[in-house]
Amino acid sequence: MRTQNRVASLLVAAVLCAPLTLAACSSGSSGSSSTSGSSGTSSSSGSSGSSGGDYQVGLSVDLSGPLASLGGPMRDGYASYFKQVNADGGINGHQVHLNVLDDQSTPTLGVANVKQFISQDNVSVIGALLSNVLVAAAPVAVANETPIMSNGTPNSSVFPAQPYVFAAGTLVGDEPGPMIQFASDRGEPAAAKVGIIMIQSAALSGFNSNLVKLSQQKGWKVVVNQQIPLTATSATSEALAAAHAKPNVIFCALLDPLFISAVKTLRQEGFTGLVINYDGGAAASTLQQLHDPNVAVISAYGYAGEVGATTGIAGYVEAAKAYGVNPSLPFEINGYAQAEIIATALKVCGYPCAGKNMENALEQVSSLNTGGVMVAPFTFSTTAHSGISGVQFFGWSSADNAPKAVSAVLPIPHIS
Amino acid sequence: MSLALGIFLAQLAIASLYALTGVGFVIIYRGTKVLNFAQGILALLGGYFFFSLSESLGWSFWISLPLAVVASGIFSALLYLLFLRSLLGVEPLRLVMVTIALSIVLTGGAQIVYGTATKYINVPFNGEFHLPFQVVLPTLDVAIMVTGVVLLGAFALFLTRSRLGLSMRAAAADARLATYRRVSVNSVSAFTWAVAGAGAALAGIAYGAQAGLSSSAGDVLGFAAFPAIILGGIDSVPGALVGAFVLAEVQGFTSAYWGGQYSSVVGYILLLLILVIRPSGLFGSREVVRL
Repeated sequence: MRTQNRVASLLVAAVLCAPLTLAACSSGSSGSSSTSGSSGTSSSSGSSGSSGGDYQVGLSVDLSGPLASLGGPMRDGYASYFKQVNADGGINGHQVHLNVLDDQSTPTLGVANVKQFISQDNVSVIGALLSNVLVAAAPVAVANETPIMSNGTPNSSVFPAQPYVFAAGTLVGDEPGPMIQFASDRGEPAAAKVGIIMIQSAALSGFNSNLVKLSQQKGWKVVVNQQIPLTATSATSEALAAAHAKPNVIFCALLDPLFISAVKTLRQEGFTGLVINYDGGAAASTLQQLHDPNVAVISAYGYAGEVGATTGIAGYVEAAKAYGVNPSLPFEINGYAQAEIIATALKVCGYPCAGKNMENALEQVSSLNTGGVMVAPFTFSTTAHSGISGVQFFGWSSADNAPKAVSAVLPIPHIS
Repeated sequence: MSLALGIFLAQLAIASLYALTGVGFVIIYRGTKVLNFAQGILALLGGYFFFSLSESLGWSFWISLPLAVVASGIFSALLYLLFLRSLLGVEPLRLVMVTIALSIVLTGGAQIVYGTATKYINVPFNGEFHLPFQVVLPTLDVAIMVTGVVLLGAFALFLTRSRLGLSMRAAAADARLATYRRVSVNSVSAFTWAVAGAGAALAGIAYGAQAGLSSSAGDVLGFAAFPAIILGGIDSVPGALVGAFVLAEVQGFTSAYWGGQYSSVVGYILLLLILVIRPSGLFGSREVVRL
């Protein structure tokens, strides 16, 4: 009887797995699916392991939490870059070993990851995705004299420059500057009425206050300022309220699904004006879904397959394909660019490289030209630990069925 | 169309989404007395199954939809048979912990299989639906509303009027007594999970068509629908519909007139008030209070 039960259980388990297996097969054939070349919590990125002769790089990202859709691709961007570097002989004759840990978007896990990178992996530098993780983990990194570089960084963490803390991505609090300039360049009137729809987040509070402040300085009037919980299922009500306030332009800071929901509702309600989103909801698939000529997103990075793609973008796409991942996923190019920044610093630093030497090397990354992976040269210095110098706005070209730059590169000055 | 009318109508689609997800909580609770915290991920998996058939394999919507719903139902029934059947009779808290564990495991499994990128579902409801007085609704919203009302009506009739529905209630009330009455508790419970999984699949497909599917969507859907069914009464199908309607409308009007930052707070204040006045929810049975 027991054997029968066991056989029955195995049969049930086999049937249970069948839909997922089918899904896996079919998913693999989808152009919009992602197949990770490095799953789990650690990735060797083509090196022979964590031998004593390798550079060690730590990366704490969300691989299984609410922002895993960003963390996974970012890890793959790092890994694809370092795989390419290692295949070309490494840096200064040494392979780069990428140590990846999952923080599930939680500061507690982020701190634990940073401690592990420092105490067990002896990393030269730590990469991170989220500002909340950076804020919590930075004191640990600083106390252990290990540079930490995050995609999401609050302005207060790098202005003024703090030892060992670096911002690799755009400071979201500074994005209102180019957003307003872009709207103005697109012909918004001198007395434009502005709508704001954004997710409710501590990290975005500076975005909201700076957007309101700069709009008022320009003589524009904020007629609606809607904030949405991060866990909302849609942005319909907020978009309805925004459309009824009859603004000329709407600025958003919405993650991709909510941005789609908001734009669809705005258009349904007859709002035909310009809608601009921040870089947290700037996926190519979002632009493709909306294919709206009056929708633009701000980005410090180019897009795989963008109209007029540069050599840097071509290299990025090639590396992603060689690593077996989809280069169109959001934040993958961010990871690739960050890995390039780290590699540039390691070259300067020599081997071994850690602590103050690595910080000094990062501060020597100057006018780094990524060939279009980042739309503007990237520069750190002893006084500036935020390196993004310019951004560009992108929309969807229906004719080319691809993302397309819709603005020149604009500076992104710090808003104090 | 006035703002108030626009919000009222738009929130009907959100309410249907809550109801489609939430009714699974109710059916499983009524049928097995398990508070299933894996309901959100079941909805997500239903959406993913549809994505595999429709987008990856390129099958038509009308073939993919029933297949995805049936696959989700079978998948849910198998979850019960594999992980919960052997726990029949243990205290409810342990069962809840099992469903939480299932939710975590299935979310991780979905991430591995489908990746972390948002998957967009295309459905043949892209136009607009024109009603009198210049009222225009997206066809997708109308389809979601109709599906929600029809499905919940069918569930309510099934649970109260059919022999199988009565067997589900009997099995949940007292499994041992139901066995004496020749009710196959395991079969009935597996069927209960299948029905809940099928309903959840429709919610997942609808959500995927509206906003896209990502691994966090299961939690978003589950936690959005949960207060609606508590509000309506955790063992009442009509309660799920009414609770979803009240919650969605309150959240929608709060968002539009006061700001989205207040929508959750006001929704939960309403929930607290109703629970203080009527602890079993608007339509919940008093038996639940004693439990």
